[in-house]
Amino acid sequence: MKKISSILLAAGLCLAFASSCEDGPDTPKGDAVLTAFGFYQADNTVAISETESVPVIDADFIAEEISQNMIVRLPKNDLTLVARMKAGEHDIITVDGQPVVNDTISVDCSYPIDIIVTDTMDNISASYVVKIGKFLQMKWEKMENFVENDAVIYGTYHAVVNPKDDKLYMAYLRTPTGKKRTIGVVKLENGKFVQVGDAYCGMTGTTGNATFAKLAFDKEGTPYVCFIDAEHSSGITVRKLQGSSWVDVGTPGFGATPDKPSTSYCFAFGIDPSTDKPVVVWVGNTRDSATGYRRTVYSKFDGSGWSASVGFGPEIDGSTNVPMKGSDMQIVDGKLMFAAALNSTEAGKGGYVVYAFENGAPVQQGNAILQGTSYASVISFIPAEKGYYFMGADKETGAEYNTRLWLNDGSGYKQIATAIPTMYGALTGANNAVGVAKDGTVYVAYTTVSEAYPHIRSYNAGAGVWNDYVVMDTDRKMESTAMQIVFDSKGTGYFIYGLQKVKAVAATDTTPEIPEVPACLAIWSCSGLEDDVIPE
Amino acid sequence: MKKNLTMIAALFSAALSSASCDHFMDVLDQPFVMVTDEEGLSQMNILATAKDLQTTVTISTSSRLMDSDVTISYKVIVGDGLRQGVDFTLKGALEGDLVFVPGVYRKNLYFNWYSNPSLDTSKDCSVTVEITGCSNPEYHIGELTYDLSAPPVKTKYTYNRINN
Repeated sequence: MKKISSILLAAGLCLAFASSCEDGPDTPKGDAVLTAFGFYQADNTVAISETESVPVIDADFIAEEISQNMIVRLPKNDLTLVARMKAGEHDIITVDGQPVVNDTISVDCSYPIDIIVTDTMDNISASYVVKIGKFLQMKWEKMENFVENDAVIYGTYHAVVNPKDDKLYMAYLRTPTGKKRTIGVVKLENGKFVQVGDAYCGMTGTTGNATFAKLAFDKEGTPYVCFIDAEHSSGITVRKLQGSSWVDVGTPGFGATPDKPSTSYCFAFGIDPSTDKPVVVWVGNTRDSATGYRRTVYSKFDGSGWSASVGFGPEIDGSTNVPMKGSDMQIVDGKLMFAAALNSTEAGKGGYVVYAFENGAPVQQGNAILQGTSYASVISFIPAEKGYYFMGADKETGAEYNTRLWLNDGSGYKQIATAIPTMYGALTGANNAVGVAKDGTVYVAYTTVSEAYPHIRSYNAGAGVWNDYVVMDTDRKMESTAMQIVFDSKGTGYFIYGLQKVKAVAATDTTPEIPEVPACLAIWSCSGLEDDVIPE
Repeated sequence: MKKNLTMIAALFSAALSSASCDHFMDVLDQPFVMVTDEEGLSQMNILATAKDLQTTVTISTSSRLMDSDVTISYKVIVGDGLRQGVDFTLKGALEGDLVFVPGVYRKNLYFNWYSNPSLDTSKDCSVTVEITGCSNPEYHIGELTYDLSAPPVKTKYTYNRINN
């Protein structure tokens, strides 16, 4: 019996020893347990008037799982916010040594948050750490500015990834020394831009300027370029690359009458996949006698020539409305589509409408989305994983623009999150300031009234909010507010915009000389996410 | 008897090997304090151009469960080549007390680092977190070897800012 007792005692001691290692330090004991943590819109508001408050965060951000080391991600992690938390029945909570009152406490989100939960019955505590991170976005890195030694570059360009060779191409306006304004086309190869075809895209460079420049590719990957051609009556000229030369597609300078293309409203250009032939949509400079407004028209190439321009517009209350500024054309679900902004002097009659080419003509898709009284100054249209996005800016008279992103995945238009801060877009030049990364994340570019330099931010679909933004080239003026984001099939993204020339300044007794810096196209690329402030 | 002792020893060994956890409380009777980073190391190099970088220094106590608070005093010593607010910011004071209530064995100091491309490495570009005292005289402050297979634990942690 004594032997058995000794063995049992020893076994018991061993078991006690083994089981004492099941608890780690700081493991919640008893009721000293944190049960909830988050940042709520209702707790985080700022008064904008005596009676009205607005939230400072766009959604509630709640820790999905409570653990001793948690991560909560916010669009921005440099805020001071009110956190709300709960613990066990007899527990009190302190944060950074301060008591939590009424379940809430103000915290600095630029650092992790240290929480102590104390069970007042057993006088035992447990600690929790909440690390605050940002929703990560692509990391943009500056490439070499695109300049030409013997030509002036403008902020008017169009960048497209050729679906055949997956390379970034750019068509752009350039004024070579001693020449008129012409077109240049380059492609990115091994990190450098190389010329595509002859230098002036078939222009002489002596008799008239080119205005705007658009690119598209047919099914073989053959590049087409389109521009307003002052060498040919300021009509529209389309050329395609044949060998190393740019050759006319139909008659150069078509459409000059009766709807001479406006140089204030950039046209839309694409290759209709149903015919593999180009189409152009533009706003005519001649006012329509019936409406008093300029007509929006289109023309298509049938293999031998361009059709006469045909007017079209959305039906608003039984009458066609004023013309529209169009976005770039994109192929969505096998159709060539684009979005357009409506201008109206009647309240609520301005807005957006989407078209798809069907049987060679633009057909309105669904109803127009009517917004404010003024037209949108920027339109961007981009295919989504399902359906398409389009972005526009609209306003009420006297108010600032609201930039909105819409998604139509086939079930109707839905605005994505809240409006993006005020955006001024270009009335001219390339506008496709929306890009969709390979993981489906949407990126948008914009400027604001007070910060007239490029901003990029992405939309966090999981949280339903816009992530924090990054800014570029804050110390140099943009040539225009035309910006473009485009991704290739490997997920590499490009962000492009024009920068003005920096004028030379002679040296003085107290300041050094500032050499002239030519106007250029600034180009950034991204292929991976930014560094995480919270290393996993 | 011999057979019983053998069995007891076997049971004890089995229990010891099954309790393979890094629970400090089970290792020593001597309470002590240690300062490490998240990797368990006692120093780290930070590149001069590092930005948006957050690091953590953990002050840990190793002891049985105490029935009253233990206050650990610390000091952060900044070399003359670095400036708080420029090269880094610290959550909390450069010098202070950390109160470990019963059941809590870790406290953190958080650093946010900012880019300083013009770092002058001819100066002292270090930031050192050092434990300077403890309210409970039982606690060992200073270097201590408790595991012959591991480096000694220290009550000092150093960041060195270096050029790329």
